[in-house]
Amino acid sequence: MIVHQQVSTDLSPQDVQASIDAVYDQMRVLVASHGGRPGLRQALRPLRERLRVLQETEALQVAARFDSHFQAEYDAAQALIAEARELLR
Amino acid sequence: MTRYLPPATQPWSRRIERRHTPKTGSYSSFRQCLRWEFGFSCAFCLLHETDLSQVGVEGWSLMQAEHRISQSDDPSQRHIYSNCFYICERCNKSRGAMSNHEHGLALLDPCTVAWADHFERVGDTVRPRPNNHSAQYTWEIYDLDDPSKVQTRERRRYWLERYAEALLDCANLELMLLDKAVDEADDRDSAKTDRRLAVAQSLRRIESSLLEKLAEFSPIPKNRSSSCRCGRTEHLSLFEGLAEQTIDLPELLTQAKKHRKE
Repeated sequence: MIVHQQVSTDLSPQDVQASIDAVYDQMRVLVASHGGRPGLRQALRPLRERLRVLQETEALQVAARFDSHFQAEYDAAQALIAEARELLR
Repeated sequence: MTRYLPPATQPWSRRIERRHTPKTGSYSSFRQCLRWEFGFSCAFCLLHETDLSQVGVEGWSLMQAEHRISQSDDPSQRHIYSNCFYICERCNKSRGAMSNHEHGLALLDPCTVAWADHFERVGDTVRPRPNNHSAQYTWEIYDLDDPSKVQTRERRRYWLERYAEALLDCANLELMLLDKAVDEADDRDSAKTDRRLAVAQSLRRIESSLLEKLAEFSPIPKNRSSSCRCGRTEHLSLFEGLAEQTIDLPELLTQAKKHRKE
């Protein structure tokens, strides 16, 4: 099980989703196979860390999705606002 | 008047009172009732459909039905409407098949308690209130502040505020340019007057396109269904805890002004 692998920044949103799903699946398999013995929390910890790294990558993709959707109109407005201010001088 | 989601949704100030009474059937047939019932929002982490996709969530599994009493704990609850909640995929994945109670702690139910009594919005996070163990447990099980949820809340707030500020600037500058163009129309530089009028007109147009984009933050999505399994239409409205937070354009612009002064 690879849990400490760095997440590539080149992963597509679909790849990140699939990786997150895979980590959840691994966690659930671990929980199911542990049979209530102590030490489950410790066993889950590396997977939890892996999940956090993937969620942080997902967070960057969320920001990129929002920005690509809203940036163009905003930039066009800002260019006009700057020109209007110039013409008011 | 058009209303918008607030830049920062606060935990619901009252419990979500169920108004829908769908005919019995498979839980998947409750979907439209659940969308309306929970204001097109994740009942737990407060993210709205529009936060998750600007093109609509239907068909993408981004919002799902959650079983409070999990299917593994009690299969007989699978198709009981009162056991179903509208929830984002991230919260659903995080909970997985976890039971709704463990070690004397139980998951909080937004249809029974006011979320604001148990959680508070701190920046772009939704934190359990201090010493509230059930809230802490619920927060952990649903991972209410996983980085992608926090980022999603931050981006909605950011863009709503930026667009409101830009709208304010466009509206003010359009009027100022128009005044200046008219006041100085007798000057020799008619090219400058013409340019002022042209830019004022462009500002007017860009206001329209900013407003069009802002409309994507409508609390009732364009692709909502106008019918549900109840077969009635009088309860196709937002629940109070969300409705009271929505804002109209003047309020949004006032907030932008205030934000700018700060």
